[in-house]
Amino acid sequence: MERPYRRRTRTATVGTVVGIALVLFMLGVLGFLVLNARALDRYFKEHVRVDVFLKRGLKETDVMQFRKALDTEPWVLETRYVTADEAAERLKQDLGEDFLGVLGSNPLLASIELRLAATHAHPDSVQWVVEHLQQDPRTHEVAYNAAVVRNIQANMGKLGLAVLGFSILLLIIAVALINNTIRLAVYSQRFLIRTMHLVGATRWFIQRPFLGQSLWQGVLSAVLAIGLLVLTLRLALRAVPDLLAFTDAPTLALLFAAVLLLGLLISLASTWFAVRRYLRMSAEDVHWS
Amino acid sequence: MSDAPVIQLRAARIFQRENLVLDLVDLTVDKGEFIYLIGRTGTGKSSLMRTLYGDLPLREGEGQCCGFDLRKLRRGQVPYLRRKIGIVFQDFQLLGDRPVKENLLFVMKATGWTDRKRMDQRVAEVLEDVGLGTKGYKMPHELSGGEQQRVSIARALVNEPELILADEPTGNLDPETTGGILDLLYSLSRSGRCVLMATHDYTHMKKLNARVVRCQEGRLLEERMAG
Repeated sequence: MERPYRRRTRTATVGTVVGIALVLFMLGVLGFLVLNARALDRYFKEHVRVDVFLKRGLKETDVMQFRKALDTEPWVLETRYVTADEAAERLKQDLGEDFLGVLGSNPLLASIELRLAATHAHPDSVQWVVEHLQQDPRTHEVAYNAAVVRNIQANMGKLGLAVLGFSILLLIIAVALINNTIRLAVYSQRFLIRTMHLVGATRWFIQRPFLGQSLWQGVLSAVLAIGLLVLTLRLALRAVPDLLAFTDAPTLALLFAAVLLLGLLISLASTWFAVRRYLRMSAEDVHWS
Repeated sequence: MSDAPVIQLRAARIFQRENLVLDLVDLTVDKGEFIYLIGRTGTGKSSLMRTLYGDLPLREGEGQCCGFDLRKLRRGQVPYLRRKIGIVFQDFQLLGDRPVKENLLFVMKATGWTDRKRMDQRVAEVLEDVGLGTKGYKMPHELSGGEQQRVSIARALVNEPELILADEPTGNLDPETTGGILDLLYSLSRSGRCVLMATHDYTHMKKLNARVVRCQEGRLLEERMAG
């Protein structure tokens, strides 16, 4: 019962908060998808493989030295040394018959398997890497699957563009929805704002309580949205256990922080513009607006 | 306090949006004057008042109100001009969501009062002045029209303004109540404030001897009351 008259000036109604929270939740889900798309893109790019077949008769120490040199290159993510015996063993398993017995000797070359850094998975970069490796005297031949590299580039480019376009669209919708909700709440207070202005209150004095409320409104909405996100992720995790394979805890925390920041920013900005609108109006405009 | 006029308009042209409503307005009002601003509705009484309190810009001519140059008035100065003017509206313009006392305290907080004790004291004073000494705790909707208008007058008085602008303050009131409000406003002018009151209620006007200014056919005309 304390100060009951304050209730009616309150613009941060349950409806407004829930409305904003739902929009923020939607943005959070989208953010999660974007993060996953990026992780997926990286995953594919880091699995581009280049095989460097070594010249026959290379000494073990030379191979080790070569491998070490490769490991320090910025475009190399990982190297693996595959001996000729290992290669033969693999092929045997792939073919399902003992071809060594047929041929009598092992025709296969030892190789170093490279996994490229995601940044160098572009077709042009791969081309450059291959040429660079081919010039090395220890190299017999360099092999990679050009089609895979090109496909990754093309498909991920398309996917990224689609996700980006969709994100921008949703962001615009979110801002518009939240802005509308807040404008309506402020609209209901327009005569109050007008009266405050007429009795000599400065603009800042009138805006301050509205902005304070919108700050709370933003925090509350964001907390609600994040709660909803966590709940949704948990439920989804039960159905798709690999859901979080591409996302780690810090990234998720960043996503939640972004949701909070966005909630605050949109809420504050909308309130500021909405209140300012009525401060700039003269009497009849307020009545006819 | 200086002896400069409270209001001084020279060849002012008052516009309502794109329409010229009053042309070549010359008006000088000194301290302590009580002035009736009369004329039919739509002749520019309200527009003149709104120009004085910075709600309509003065685009042509010269104008000065409570020490502010109306031609050079910037948006940020408007609140400070309004603190020197007490405005009383036909429709009261009270904050309907809080009691009488909070209505007055709001104005005080908005205009830079901080000492809670002095604020309470001042609220009690002005409510006493308008005859509402015991009604500070009431919500506006619990009061009669006349009482609500008294609250709005009390609110106008809070910052001891040099000028009180009353735009048809009795327009929504019955004849008995009207008499009381007029007496109240008139008594304020005798305590040194300047009161400019727009009205078209001629019957009550005659009872008080005062200067009369008439808005007619786009001009402002001086009239002397036969008291």
